[in-house]
Formats: sequence, C-alpha cells, structure tokens
Amino acid sequence: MANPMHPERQEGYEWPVGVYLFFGGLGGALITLSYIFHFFAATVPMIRLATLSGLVLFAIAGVFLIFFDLERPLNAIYSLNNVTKSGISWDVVLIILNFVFGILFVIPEFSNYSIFSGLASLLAPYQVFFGLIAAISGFLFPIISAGLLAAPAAIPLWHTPALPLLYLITSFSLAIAYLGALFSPVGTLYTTFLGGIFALTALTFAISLAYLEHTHNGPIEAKEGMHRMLKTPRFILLYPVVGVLFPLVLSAYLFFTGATLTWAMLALTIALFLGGFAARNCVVNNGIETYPWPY
Amino acid sequence: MTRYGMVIDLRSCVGCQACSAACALENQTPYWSNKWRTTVKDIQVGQYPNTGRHFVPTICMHCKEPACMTVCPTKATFKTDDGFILVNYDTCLGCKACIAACPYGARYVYSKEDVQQDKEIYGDNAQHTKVHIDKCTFCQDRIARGMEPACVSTCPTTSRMVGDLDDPTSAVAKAVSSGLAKPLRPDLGTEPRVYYIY
Repeated sequence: MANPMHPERQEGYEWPVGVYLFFGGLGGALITLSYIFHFFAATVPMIRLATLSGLVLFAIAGVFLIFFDLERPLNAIYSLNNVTKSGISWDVVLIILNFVFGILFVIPEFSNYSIFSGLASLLAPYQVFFGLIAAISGFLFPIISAGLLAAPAAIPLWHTPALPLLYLITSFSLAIAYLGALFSPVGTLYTTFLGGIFALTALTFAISLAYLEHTHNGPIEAKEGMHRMLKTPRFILLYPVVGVLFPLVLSAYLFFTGATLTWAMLALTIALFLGGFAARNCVVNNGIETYPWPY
Repeated sequence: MTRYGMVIDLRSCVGCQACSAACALENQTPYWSNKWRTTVKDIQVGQYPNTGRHFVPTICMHCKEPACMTVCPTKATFKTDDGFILVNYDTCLGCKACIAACPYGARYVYSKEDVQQDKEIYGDNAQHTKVHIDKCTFCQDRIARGMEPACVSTCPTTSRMVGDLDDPTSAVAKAVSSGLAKPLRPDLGTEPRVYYIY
C-alpha cells in the first residue's frame, strides 16, 4: 500500500503561545541588555526602563501562559517538581528567577527615591550578582522556550536548531530597537544601536533562508506547514517584507552611509515588532501536523 | 509482567467505526465534540479510474519511549509497571505540550464543555470530572478484569488483536516477530506497542 495518509493538523498551541513567546523573549532580552549596559555608558533611566519593561513583559508573558492557554493554570505549581526533565518546567523556573532577580537588580537604581533608599543601599553590594542571574535567565528563556518547540521530532517544521537560534536573535534585535527608539533616535548610541539592528537582522535573514531550505527539503509535514504559512498574505507581508527586508535595507543604508533620520529608529522598531510577532504566531499555528505513516 | 501490545490488520478493517463507538461508550470520550481515543481514518487515494480506499484505525501507541511523557511539565503523563501510558487527571496542566509532542495525534483536550456534557449524559457515573488532556488507556480496567479492550472485543472482522508481546506463542508476538506487523514511524525512536499489518 502506498502512503495513503496526508498530514493532519492537530489540536494544539494557539495565539496565546505566540504572545507568550513574543513578550517573554523580548522581556528576557531587555533584562539581559540592561545588565550589559550596566557596565558601559548606559544612563540610569535606560537601565531602569530596560529592566522594568522586561519585567512587565515577562509578567504579561506569564499571564498569557497561565490564564489564556493552560486549561488548569493552578496545576502549574506541580511543574516545579519536574525541573530535571521538562522544558516547560525550566521555563517556569527561568520566569521566576528573572522576575525575582530582575527586581533585586533594579532596586538599587532607584536609590535617589527616599522610599527605596534603605533597601537600595542594602542590595547595592550584590547588584552585579542579582543582575547576572537575571541576565542569564533572560538570555536562556528564548533558547529554552523555542527549544521546547523544536524538541519533539514529531513536528518537523519546528524540529531544527534554527528555531531557538532565530528566536534568540530576533528577541535581541527587538530589544535593541525598542531601547534605540526610546533613548537614542539620533543620540550618541545611535550608531551602536543601528549597527546592532543591522547585524542581528542580517543574521535573521540568513537563518530564515536556512529555515526555508530546511522545510523545503524536509518531510511532508514540514512542507505542509511552511506552504500554509507562505500562502498567508499577513505572514508574507509582516515577516519577510516588513519584519526582515525593510529593517535590513534601512539599517544597512543608515549604518553604512552615516545618514541620520529622526524617524528611522521608530520605524525600525515598529517593523521589527510586527515581523517578530507575526513570525512567532504563524510558526506556532502552522507547525502541528502529523504524518505517522512509515516512509 | 505482561507486556501488552496490539496488532491492527488493515487488510481486514472495513471502517465500520464500531471500535470508535465501543471506546466512546466504555470510556465516555467526547463523541459529541468529535473527539475520539480511537477512530478509523477513511482515506481515498488516487484518481479515477485508479483509485483506492483504505481504512486506518488510529490509537495511542503506548510507546516504550513516549515523547508525550518527556515533555509533560507536571509528570501527569506517566508509565505504569505494565508499560501503559496514562494521564493523571488531577495534576494535568492542560498545556498541550503532549499533544504537540505525540507523533500519532493520539491526544486531545477534554474541555470544560466536554466535562459538562459528560456530567449531563452520565450523571453520577461520569468518568471525567476535570478538564484534562485525554488519550487511550488501553482499557486498563478491562485488562485488569481479564477482558480485552473495548475496541478489540467489538471489532467484527477481528482486525484488532491484543496480547503479550513477550509470549512467543501469542498471535500478536508471532505477527510482530515475523515482521508482518510493523510499528508506525519507527524512525522517531518512540518504540510503539501498537503494530500494523498492511
């Protein structure tokens, strides 16, 4: 008998998981960047805003994870009992670490507020340590989250190391663009932010092409998922066009010509945000295909 | 310990869906939402005049290396001493990671609406009182009573066979050891305990 079964879409992840991946990755990257900036020429407001934004985004990610997608959210407590084996449990631990140590890291930055001054002076000697834990967990979060999707061999569209790598890189390009738009539309760090966006978007472009190649030459389920994505006008417009090519061309032009446009950072940020969310949402929605018949 | 396995002979399956119905009645699966622990796929292939029609019963494979168990964050999916893969309804989070991880599409969400419907239909005898991810249990309670799973005992063409894979005299073990019955997607390394003859 020839292979009679066609790929079938399974019940599974929906848009809340896309939101979770988007906000969680961005939040983790912001906290990691704020820790790195702490050692360089970053201003206190930048560290405050980067960390607090990261924490808020992580909180939103957690809320979406727990209340919008889980069928029985209160049972999440049991996941702390399976940290050695489950990727989701690692994610829960990373969120907790990031949240707790992110708060401990940022409090000393508010030492000039009388309400925080006592606590800030108490925590200040350990700020670098707290920041390190928050930064490591923020850095690992995108890798573990996307690694969780990429782990099951049953879903070839996701079963590639390119997925965690792509998620990590785009999370950091989003975070850099976000900070660039807020703090340095034409300021001293303009070129640094622009260079970062260009480098990470170029990497995103290259890895996206590799991903396309992987699915094109992959099993039938992967092709099915990718074809469905490529037939979705919203995805095509928001990810390859607006989310990758536009930022790549604009950041390359500005970076290599030295031109300064006041609207550029904001435009790059909006484009990267739209593309980043579309990519996560579409990948999550289009992956779950099964094809159990033996090849 | 008996290592139960199942062999499904696609050559004799007529696609009557009696197995689906028997399973639904035995285990109160949400047929009202078109969700089944076991069902028969009716697959038509080819183009006129060279056409074919195949019936492929699907079910949880109770894998030796279950991908669904590895990803479960709360250990709600567990393996019994007999090797059956079951779900602890009390600790299931409903995160759907197991649905995504299962290569055989054997799981579904027993949703809040399904639980309510189950209660309405079966009253105090309702088996599903909590939202959870549901799947085939290999009719463990029937096996414990020395009976065959509902899908096996109801099959009119005896397309489904169940038996001890470690007993060389059993029909199931013979079909597997002879190479006649083969597992689905052996390349995934899940080592299913349900085999197909085709």
